[in-house]
Amino acid sequence: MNAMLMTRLLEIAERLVPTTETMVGAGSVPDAEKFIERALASRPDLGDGLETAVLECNDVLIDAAVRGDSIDSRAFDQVATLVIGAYYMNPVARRQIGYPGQLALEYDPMEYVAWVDEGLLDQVMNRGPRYREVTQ
Amino acid sequence: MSGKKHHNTDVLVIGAGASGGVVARRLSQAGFSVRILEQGEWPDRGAFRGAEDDWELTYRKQWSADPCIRQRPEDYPINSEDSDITPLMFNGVGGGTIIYNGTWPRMLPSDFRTRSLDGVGDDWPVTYDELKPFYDRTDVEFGVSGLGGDPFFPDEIDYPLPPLPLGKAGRRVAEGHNQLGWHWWMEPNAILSRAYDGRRPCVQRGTCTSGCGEGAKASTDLTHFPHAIRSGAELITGARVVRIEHDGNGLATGATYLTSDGVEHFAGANIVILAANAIGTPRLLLMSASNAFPDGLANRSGLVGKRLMMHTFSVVTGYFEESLGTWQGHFGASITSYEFYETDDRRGFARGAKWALSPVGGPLGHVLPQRAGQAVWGSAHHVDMLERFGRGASWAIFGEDLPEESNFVSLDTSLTDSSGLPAPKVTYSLAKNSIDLTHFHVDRAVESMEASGARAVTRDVLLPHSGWHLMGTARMGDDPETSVVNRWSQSHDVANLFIVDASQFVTSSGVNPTSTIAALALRAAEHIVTTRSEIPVPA
Repeated sequence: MNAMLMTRLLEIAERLVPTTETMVGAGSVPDAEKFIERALASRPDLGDGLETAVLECNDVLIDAAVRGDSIDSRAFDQVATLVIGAYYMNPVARRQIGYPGQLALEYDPMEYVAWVDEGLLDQVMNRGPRYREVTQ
Repeated sequence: MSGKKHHNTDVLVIGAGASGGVVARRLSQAGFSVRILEQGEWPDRGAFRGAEDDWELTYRKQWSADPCIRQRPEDYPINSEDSDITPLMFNGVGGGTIIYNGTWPRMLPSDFRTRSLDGVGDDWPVTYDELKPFYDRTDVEFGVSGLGGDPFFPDEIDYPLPPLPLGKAGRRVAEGHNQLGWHWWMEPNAILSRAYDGRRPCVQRGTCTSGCGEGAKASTDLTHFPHAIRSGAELITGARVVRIEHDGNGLATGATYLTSDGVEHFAGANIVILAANAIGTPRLLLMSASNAFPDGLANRSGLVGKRLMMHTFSVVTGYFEESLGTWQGHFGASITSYEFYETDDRRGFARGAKWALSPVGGPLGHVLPQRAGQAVWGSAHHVDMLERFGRGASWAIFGEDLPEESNFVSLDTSLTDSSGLPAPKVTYSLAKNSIDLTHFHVDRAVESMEASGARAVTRDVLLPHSGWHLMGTARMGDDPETSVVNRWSQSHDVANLFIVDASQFVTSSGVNPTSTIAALALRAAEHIVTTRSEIPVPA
């Protein structure tokens, strides 16, 4: 990707998700460029016509998005998906929101016995049968 | 070019999804020679992205449920310009089970009797009681985790596996329903709560709908086709069926199909079974028109393609003070509610909806909502993420869609698939009953979340990108004038042709259909086994 295009992508990213006192924004997060390249590797279709899409995402459009206007633009969807997809692949951005990724978790498949014994289902059971009688 | 002309088999199954898997397994184990044609390939389980950091990005393209977005070579496009809902599906061994969420409710007894009970839709020629033994058997085949005793069913269902975890969100909402005096129960899921049949248990990764890397979610590439192949079945992938052939007596003789190199082949059989979903099946029947069947094969009733039903889909999300970690969890559903499922004349509409409590996905799904929500940009972005991400729980609300002949699948006159075959065109409008039903249920679901302690509740009503449940386009019935297949899923017109997917549904119910698809398919297979000698075959 050429440097001008990357620079503009990072500008757009930072406008959409800006840096605040406590949170680093999408254009200035460490390794932002690397993760944009990785996102493109995962989604090559987002690179199709990217230069044109970035041009269409002018300041007027970005201002409207930041204002909360509904944006109906394929170019905006393409660019936003790329830069925000890259941002939330980045471990720094993930740590900020307490997101460790989709993990494999362990659990006890018999845990339900405890909450059934505790009475969580009693209200439901005490109402009796709820099915609709049907003449077969 | 002409290719292979295979030796005849007893049975040819077209489509390797849920219903195709069930019939292929049962019939091959019963000693039938079985060949299956599937236009897709075996899923590359190493390509599932759930455990990778680009999961959400690839979920929007390579693993999209929309074939028009996914655009794999084996997919066919669907013209849905004239449809209020976008049809969704997956082509490959396993079919839709590769990307479904594994939720596995049965239809309720009343679902089979909507005409008698409520004066809407039509009664099925089968009952819940007749289908129950097949539900029980397919629960075992697929490996269903659940808790018996739900008062909304007349019988104690004996699930083979204990229920999946309730989770923090499930508990919060269950307690809310207890305060309201409303029904809730553990949702049954075809997702393993512990190791079973050589498969590993669910790890709650929450990425079920882009392929289950653990193999915990039942999909027929794991649960059925390996069994069928071990029993001698032959599964041919990359085989796109062009038409079902028939002889001068009007009996099906097999199918002509194309391979990716454009070469045409013929697979002959004594019995042909269509299992290509409620869009693919009518498409094939319409493509199989001939001089003897000018309006499409098995279409004397004129109902092939008609009465398409797709559940309405809405999402109500409650946001809670504490983190619920709801990017994780089976997807699937933890709990369900049938509180407002049945008709109440005071509401001004017929029938109802089932609610399923689901996880809400990862950060990209939160920022760039696909199915529900609104993007938040600028300085408010971080505030929104910190306040809401991982703190939400969603009621997914599936509303019953009543059959209308004005909702239908036809052949597009210009759009084609990559083989040049006509693409299906879907014409579908939401009915007033569906809209009224949905708004009532969404309002009640908001009350549910508020009673559960949510500090904010959002509602996303009648989402268009939601046509997972395709049903009704070759309906079952006793009368050949008003139905396509009989009570045994057998064509009224072509006696050795069976349709075992959700095309045969008479009404849609308000529950996820795969459990009923599987039970009906097994019932049809059992009928073929027991009446084999009575089914006419081509000379």
